[in-house]
Amino acid sequence: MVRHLYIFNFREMAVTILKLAAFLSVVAAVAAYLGGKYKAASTENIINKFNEQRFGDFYKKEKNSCDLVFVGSSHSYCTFDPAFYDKEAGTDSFQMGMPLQLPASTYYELREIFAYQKPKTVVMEVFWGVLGTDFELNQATQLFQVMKNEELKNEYIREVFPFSEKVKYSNDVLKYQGDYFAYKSKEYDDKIRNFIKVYRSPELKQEGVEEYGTKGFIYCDYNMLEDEYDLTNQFKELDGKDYKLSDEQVKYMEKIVDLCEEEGAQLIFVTAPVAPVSLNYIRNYDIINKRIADFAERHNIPYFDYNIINSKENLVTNANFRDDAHLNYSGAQIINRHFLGLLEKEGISLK
Amino acid sequence: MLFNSADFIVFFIIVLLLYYILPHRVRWVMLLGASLIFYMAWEPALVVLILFSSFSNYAFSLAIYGSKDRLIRKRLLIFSMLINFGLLFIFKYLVFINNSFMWLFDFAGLKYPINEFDIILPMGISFYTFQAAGYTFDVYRGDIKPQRNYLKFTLFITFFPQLVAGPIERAGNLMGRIFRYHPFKWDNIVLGAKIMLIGYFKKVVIADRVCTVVNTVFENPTRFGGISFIVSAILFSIQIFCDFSGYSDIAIGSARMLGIKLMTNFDRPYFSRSIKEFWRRWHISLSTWFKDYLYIPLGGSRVSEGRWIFNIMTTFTVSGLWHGANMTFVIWGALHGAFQVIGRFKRKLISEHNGVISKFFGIVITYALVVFAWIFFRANTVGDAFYIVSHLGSDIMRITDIAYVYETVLSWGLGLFPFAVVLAAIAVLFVTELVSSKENIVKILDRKPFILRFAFYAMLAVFLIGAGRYDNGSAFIYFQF
Repeated sequence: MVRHLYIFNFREMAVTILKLAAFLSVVAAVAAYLGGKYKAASTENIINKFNEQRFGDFYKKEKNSCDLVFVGSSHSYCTFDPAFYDKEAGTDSFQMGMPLQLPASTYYELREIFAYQKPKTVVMEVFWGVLGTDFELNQATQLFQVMKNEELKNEYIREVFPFSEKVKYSNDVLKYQGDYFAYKSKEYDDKIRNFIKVYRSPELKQEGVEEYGTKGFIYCDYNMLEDEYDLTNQFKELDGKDYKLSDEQVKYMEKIVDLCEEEGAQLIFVTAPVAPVSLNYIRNYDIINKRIADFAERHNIPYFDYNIINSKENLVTNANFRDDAHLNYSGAQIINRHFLGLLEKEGISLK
Repeated sequence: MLFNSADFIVFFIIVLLLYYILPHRVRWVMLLGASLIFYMAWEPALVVLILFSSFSNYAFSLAIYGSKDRLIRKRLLIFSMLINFGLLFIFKYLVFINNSFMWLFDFAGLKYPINEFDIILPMGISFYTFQAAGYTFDVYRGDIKPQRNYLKFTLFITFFPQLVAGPIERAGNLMGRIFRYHPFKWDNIVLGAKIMLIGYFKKVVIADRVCTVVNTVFENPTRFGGISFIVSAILFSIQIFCDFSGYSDIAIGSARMLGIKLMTNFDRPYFSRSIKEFWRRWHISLSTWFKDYLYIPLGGSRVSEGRWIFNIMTTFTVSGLWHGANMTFVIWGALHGAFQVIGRFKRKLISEHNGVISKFFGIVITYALVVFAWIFFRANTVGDAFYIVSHLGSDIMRITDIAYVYETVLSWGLGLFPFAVVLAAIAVLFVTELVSSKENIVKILDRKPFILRFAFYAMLAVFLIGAGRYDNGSAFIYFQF
């Protein structure tokens, strides 16, 4: 061994090792305890419950019975209601969108879908926010909580996760911390409100229902909060000038194109609208639209951007939104009807 | 590569192992390679800039040292500084100046001939430029002999623990320490790990959590009132301290594990009793740089009162500009200069007392002034800063309205539980700072019983694992400077 690797005497070394082992054991024990607590809190997250119901219903479906499937981010499950298409177009459709779903997740989800179903059409909601993101752990964790195929999950981790995220994913404390903190905050909030008898002022309180509908769709009849028109609008500072698609997500969008082709499914891209007041805040939306439209054109995928369509045809107003970005049920009905008509006009059959 | 990423932990473990396994004569080569990899992990192409900067200083310092002619030496120094600060000007200030002219022309209704453009800001450029420029100055003044090996000199500039956010080291201190033989000492490993743990606690548990409140309020000031402004300004003072001193702790700790001692960069700055004292305790490596290479050459304090005011205002305004190409930083620097001028006149009028009450009020007033100046530092625009300052008392009368205060706290976006956790972490930090007036907490604890040390570091580790923020591995604030 190298000469300068000398250390202390044996007794000193043994004491040092013991101290270090004791320290690491205590920290590891506390971390394991916290991991358990944090993981348990994740089941309290209403979004996770919706995901569980969605995938539960999907896995219960008769094999190869589905001919239309919707995928993508929360904009997908807030907008595209399978019940509408089943009734109006005679399809057997299913909504498989998940919060913040990045194309990488869509790709693995689609592989799981194709293992059970052979849909003829895949409608992928393409929200620019997720297309510009390299990686996001929570949405992958949410998918893993409900997807059955362990091999696919492992492949996802191996192929998509950056090294740091693999470390986080392997640790329940880091993985579920967000769920626990949100859950505890709500608990504190309720307790403090009851203690000091403070109740939410009307402008901060949303009235209505948000619940799991059928076949993966989330029903919601909320209206936008007053603050979201201006003060808290998330799109206020958005400048699309430098917007570009993430290279990582482009790679998976291309894989989705290839996968759908292999499976004989027609792929359609669609961007659900954000509230008109929000769109007005976004500078250079045309650049954002062009980036996605260029990709679609290069791969010969039909693409419908409802922010562009709505700004020309005024289909939905701010009253049709549950918040500054997502449609409520009234808005979803309008867009679904229009989208179906648009597909017919373009000669795209859903069955 | 961010200190608060798993990539760095793996990188550092490999470097540490290699460092102690390799023979002394090749260790510096490994450290140079590791430092370049560390920098290139962020943007590989920009390593060329740092290599050029170090070559320029290396060559000019040799030329200066080799010349006997005073005038030639001076000219060589000026050339060298032109290159150093020219690079800094191009990469850091050119866009700002172009945009300022664009605004001025637009304001005057004239057509500005140059289009808007953008230049990538190389990470840590202000730090390594100052370290390199300081070296050349030291050679010019005859304080040190130049390093004759270009690669060894490059290691001095790029040494990874302090490359992107300091401490800005002097060749006289660091050069010898990097190349000296450091045998493996368990004590260095333990000491370094303890310092790093404290640094990570500050950064990941406190700075990265309070930043949610700070960002929410400072990004949309018109949404908030005075209570939010006062709280978020105080939280920003904590955020920037924890972020920057946390980075310094990790840098100092990691270098210490390699046996290399870096200079102290923070010494309980918020316990200062005057602004003058604050600058002896805050970002010490930068303050001493400005003192040695700007303030003293300008004449320092042994000049007429008018000239001294000019010297101090120039030094602090330039210090503000060093932090970023924005008028907010310039005003922040000028405010600190003005506070020092006022402090000097106050000391002339009112004699200093050393009683406990006097000390306490000195600390409180100094902290209040520092927090006030931080508003300008953090605000996105001068307009935002003035809006905040002019609305500091806007809703202060509603402080007794529990419902209003409660909704205000919720509107900061942090969530009640994380807020409670971060307040607990801040309390731990406050007590730690409070008790370490004579020496740092690690040394104090080293004399305490094992169980106390064990409990303290285990508590920090548990905070780090259970309450650290890891969702988006946020960069350190000072990386942008």
